[in-house]
Amino acid sequence: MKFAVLLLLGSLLACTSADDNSVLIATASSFRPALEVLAPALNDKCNTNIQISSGSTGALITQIRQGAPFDLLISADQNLSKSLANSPTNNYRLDAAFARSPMAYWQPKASAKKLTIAIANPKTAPFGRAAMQVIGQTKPDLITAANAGQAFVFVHTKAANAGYVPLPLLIAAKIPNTEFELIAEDTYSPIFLHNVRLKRNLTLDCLSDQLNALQTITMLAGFGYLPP
Amino acid sequence: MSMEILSPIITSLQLAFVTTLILLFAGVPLAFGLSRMRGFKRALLESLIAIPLVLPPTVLGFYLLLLLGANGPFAPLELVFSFPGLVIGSVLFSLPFMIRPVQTAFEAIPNSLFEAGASMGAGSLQRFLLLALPLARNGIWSGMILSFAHTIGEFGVVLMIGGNIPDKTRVVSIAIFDAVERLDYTEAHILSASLVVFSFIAMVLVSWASRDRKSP
Repeated sequence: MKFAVLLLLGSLLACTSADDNSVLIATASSFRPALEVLAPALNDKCNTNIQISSGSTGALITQIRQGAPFDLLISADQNLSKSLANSPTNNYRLDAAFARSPMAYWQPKASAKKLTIAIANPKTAPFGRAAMQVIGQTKPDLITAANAGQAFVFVHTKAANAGYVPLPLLIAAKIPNTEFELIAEDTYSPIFLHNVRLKRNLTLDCLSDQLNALQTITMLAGFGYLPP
Repeated sequence: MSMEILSPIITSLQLAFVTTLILLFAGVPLAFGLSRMRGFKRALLESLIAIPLVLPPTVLGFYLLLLLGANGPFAPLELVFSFPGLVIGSVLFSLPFMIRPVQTAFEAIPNSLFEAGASMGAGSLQRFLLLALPLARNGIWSGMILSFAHTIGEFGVVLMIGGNIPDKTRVVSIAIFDAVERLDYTEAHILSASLVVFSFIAMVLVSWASRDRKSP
């Protein structure tokens, strides 16, 4: 039974202390690289410690509906966010969009192999729906990723030889602009980023203000984001 | 080592410790009971416990999410997306990994030893504590190591009921998935390699624990 005692001690020692000042942000995967760059400045300005969890907006909203303890959602799907915020059983607050995210078609190099195109899941990710709008009636071989970030990884690891991905992910990964082309914005529904405050406190008010601040918008332009 | 890497390792170890501890105190008596059972009741119970061996983890995760989630009967306990919720999922999912080797070890003990103990006045609790447990120690070690290792490698159940919350539910397997999505292959490599080494050590320990101590 010595091992049992060791297990108990280990369990107790492994307990990590919670940081009361931390804010847990659930973000659409396409915004994660930009948020990681923004986080230190946001931490300083709002006197907080941002922790990030990312996924497709649809999956994150499902988790929130099931009780996930996020403080702020940065969503890329306005309709889903509205339905979340309008639910009468909660006290969520949907803020105005702070950026618009362009989409690009990325094909690292022409391939003699059959073209397989990675897209985010159209049922849960706005970039997936946008990709389907662009693809239209054509029937290419599609590889459906859980979210836009995973669609990007599929092309990056050559699991797919092309993909419809958010422009900010290409810029963040320093992909040469000879490998991708921007998709005309009138061919798909625009993808706006906005935040939903899931709790009410001054830190979240501060973060919301900072995301809409001119300085943030300027920084986001470096990632390819456009004003809303 | 950065907290990005250290935190999921700590969470995984914490989860595996607590899960193994619960399985040790709940699983060993259950395995003993099963080893003494016969007939249809035993077949039914064994099958029920063994289901996680063949069931996709997402199925268990889905039903746990429905039970523990915001609209489920256990919603007031706020177990979903929390560490205690992960423990519940892990205990259920790792249960057969504890029960199987321990039950086999109990079954290998000749019944005559229990009869001898009973004839010398030992009650059922004494026979369990003083005869069965020491003789089944190799199986118990194997069960503990397997449960611990299986919990460390868990993904589907954790993703369904725990999500990906830093310092709370982001275990190593989830952190690897997350690191790959962020194109942070260095972090993914470090965590993945640590799991490969850990799994190998666990298998060596299982092999060591299962050895026949009487052989030369």
